[in-house]
Amino acid sequence: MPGRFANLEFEHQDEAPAALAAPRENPPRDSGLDLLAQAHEKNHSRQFELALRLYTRALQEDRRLVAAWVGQVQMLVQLDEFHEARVWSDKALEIFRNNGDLLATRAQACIRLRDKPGAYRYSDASLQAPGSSPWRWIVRGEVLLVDGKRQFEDCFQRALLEPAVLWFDRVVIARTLAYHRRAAAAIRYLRAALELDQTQASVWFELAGCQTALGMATAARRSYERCLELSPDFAPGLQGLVRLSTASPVAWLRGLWGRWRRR
Amino acid sequence: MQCPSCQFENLPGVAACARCQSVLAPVEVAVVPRRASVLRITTRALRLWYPLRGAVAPLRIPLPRSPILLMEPLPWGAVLRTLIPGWGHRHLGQRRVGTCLLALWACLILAAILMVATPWANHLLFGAVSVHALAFIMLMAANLCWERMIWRCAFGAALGAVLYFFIYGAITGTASRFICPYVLQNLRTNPLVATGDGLLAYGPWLKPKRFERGDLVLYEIPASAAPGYLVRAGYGLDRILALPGEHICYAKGQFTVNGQPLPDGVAPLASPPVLPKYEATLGMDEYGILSSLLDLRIAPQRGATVPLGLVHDLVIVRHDRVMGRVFWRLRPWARFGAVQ
Repeated sequence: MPGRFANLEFEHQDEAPAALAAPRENPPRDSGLDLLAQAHEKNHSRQFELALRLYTRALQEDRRLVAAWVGQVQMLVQLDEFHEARVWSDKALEIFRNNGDLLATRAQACIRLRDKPGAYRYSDASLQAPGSSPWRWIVRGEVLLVDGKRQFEDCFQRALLEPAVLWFDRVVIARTLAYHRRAAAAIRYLRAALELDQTQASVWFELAGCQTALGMATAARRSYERCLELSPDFAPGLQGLVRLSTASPVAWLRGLWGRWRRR
Repeated sequence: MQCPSCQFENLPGVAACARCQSVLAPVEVAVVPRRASVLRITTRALRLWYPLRGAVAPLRIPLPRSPILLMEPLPWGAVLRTLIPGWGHRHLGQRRVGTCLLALWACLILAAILMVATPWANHLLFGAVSVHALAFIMLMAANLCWERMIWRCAFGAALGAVLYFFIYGAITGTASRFICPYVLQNLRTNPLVATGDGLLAYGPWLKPKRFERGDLVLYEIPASAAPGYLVRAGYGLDRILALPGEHICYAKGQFTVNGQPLPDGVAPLASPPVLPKYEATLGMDEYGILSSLLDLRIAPQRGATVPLGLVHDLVIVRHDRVMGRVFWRLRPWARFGAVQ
């Protein structure tokens, strides 16, 4: 050890003060893949803004991460910035031409903007692109759902048959259905996701949201409570529970109407 | 990023070409997406626009292939601005051409207005329409696929016809409801107006519900005939002497209203014609006007007297036959101005 403490002796060498140790090197930066994994985690827990920033940081580390480009566009869609999502997916497609997942995100941005011809065009292109993924079929299902075709359910089921399917894909399908006010159909997929992993607070939260939309107040309260048990500081869950306790009769009637229509 | 050696398309950010391992210069690619504002205006507008476009699409009638095809998108901004000739060209940066077209068109319109109610007005208006059509054609010349001269002429003629009848016709028709030009003929000598003077009168949309005594008005004279007499249809110009409900009396060249002589400043424009004594009470929509200017073509037979029915037609004018108040003289140029 250098310096004035060079000749100090200790009875036990392992008691050397930590301050005399060599200064630590700079902590290693998270790699692109680490940031990507963190971004996925935030996406799972519905922290879309944070997930978007993490996807962006992942790309700053490694611009070749297609999953990060896809994630960025997905987060923009979740944040209702559909026009920006479309523009950014075009930007990504300039770099990764004919990438199926990016074409699917472009199709999702189009269908959220109610541009059906554009959505069909990009969805067809994504399915024809090399490779396959659940995401392409989920988006196809959303396009058919918005167009009023009954085959949307087949596309969602097809997505779950893909080899690379994860438990979270069921949640993505449920989010899509919930966005288009198909709460009853979304509940089925959320329950299927919970059968695979019951420890995700955000899934319980989404289930509670769908149950609230259907006017199932008791079930929604139980789901919110379960969500808060798993994650006590989950703010959206707390807000949902408070909102549920002050629900108006109009909301109950609306839920009844939705249940009657089996949506 | 394309490799300069083998032209292979590499992903941005790679240091070496994946095919030939040539060193690639680093390329900066933006990875931060542009965000929307809080209001998300573009998204909201597009969510309204696309369904509307989809709803209108089935209604579009596919036009058959025509010899005149559109090769490039029309510069719609300039085309719409060419509703004022020359403005579209100025919008596209062709300032000199636009200014010339605008100046020529404005001169022709102004000349047509000054020559209104003469045959020259129609010629000048037609010239203005031609300049307008020319401005449109010059703007669209680059976009039209010319095949035969006959189609060019047909397109120009159709454009001119549309402009003349639907735009200029509509404008002049609407304007004539506000201001009407007249050229009176066959007037007797008087200090105010002469035969061939161009006058402007207020049109039917500016016609008041009731005229005032002393108003200089144009009115219709219907054709009428009696044994030995003939009155041709035409227009008369004179002052209103008596108002609805008043009692008039005309005798020995003197016109009295309710037994009183006419006030100062209210008198026929010229010396009244020789007519027999006439007395009447005006109805609620009748005015007393003594037609002093017109050469009425009364051709009496020797010894015959003017029938009272004819006098009634010459002295009493219904409100609906009064065209409007005359306020301006266009010609002769020496007397251009308000009619006093």
